[in-house]
Amino acid sequence: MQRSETATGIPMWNLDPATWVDEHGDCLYRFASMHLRDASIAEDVVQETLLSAIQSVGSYTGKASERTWLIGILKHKIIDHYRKNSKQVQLTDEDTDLSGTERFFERPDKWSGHWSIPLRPVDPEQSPEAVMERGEFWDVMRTCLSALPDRVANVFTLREMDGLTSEEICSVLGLSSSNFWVIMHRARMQLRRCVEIKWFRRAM
Amino acid sequence: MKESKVNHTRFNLWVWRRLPHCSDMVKVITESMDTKISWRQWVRLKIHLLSCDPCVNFIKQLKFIRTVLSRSDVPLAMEDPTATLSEDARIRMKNALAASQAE
Repeated sequence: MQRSETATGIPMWNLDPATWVDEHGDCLYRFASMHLRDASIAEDVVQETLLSAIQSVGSYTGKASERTWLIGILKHKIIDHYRKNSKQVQLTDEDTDLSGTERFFERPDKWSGHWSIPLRPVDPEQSPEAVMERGEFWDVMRTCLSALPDRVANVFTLREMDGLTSEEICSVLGLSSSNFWVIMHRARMQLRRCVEIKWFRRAM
Repeated sequence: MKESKVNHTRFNLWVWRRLPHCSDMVKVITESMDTKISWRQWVRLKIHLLSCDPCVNFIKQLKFIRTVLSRSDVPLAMEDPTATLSEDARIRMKNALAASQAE
């Protein structure tokens, strides 16, 4: 990143779009494919992001790093993509199927409806900060997230990673609030269990 | 829900059936993470948590997952390091960028 002039002679403040693909392309692509889960859609969205970044080079204030600024634009593009495609993407029966969550509360004794003893959640017994630097933890997280159906993972990441409110997500994806609720419940029950088996219990 | 050796009378089973079950409480817990729940539900939940360690742990796990995922540097930690742009896509993007800058 340096002060440079483009072929057209317009000064580009601190930014050199010609280097973007090599410098940030993979990073943007990984971020996009983590959200969109489709290589060709992710490529298209990254390209749109770079083109739209060229248009708004003037709004770059230098406060954030070039990469953070580009990721900010990419996030908007991903949400635009969801919004445009929300009508085409139908929920499948699998997405809203809560039957997999019943087994946690099935017991042979008269305490049915309470946690089945072998499936009771364990105490994480560690601070979130302690795992931030642990590569193995993120491998677990990635595996567990990719086990969710696409649509469920979309909703879940918009809520828990991008921090959108439930109202925002319903409007972007065209979901009813009851469907939103079912999807989040399903996602949490499945992801929590997966992380528990692969991490919380193992770390004990 | 500790396993007790007490012989359950009809009366305490009657009481127990009217107390909220974990299977209902996990739904309230999930809901409470996305919206404000009614104070009635909130009270039911708090009372339930007093005697239910697994549900307390369930909340701890969900909060743990939320905290780690909401950090701003997570997207970079989470990425699959093996995913890279294909050579075709790279060239296509460079061309598109150059064309757009030339306009």
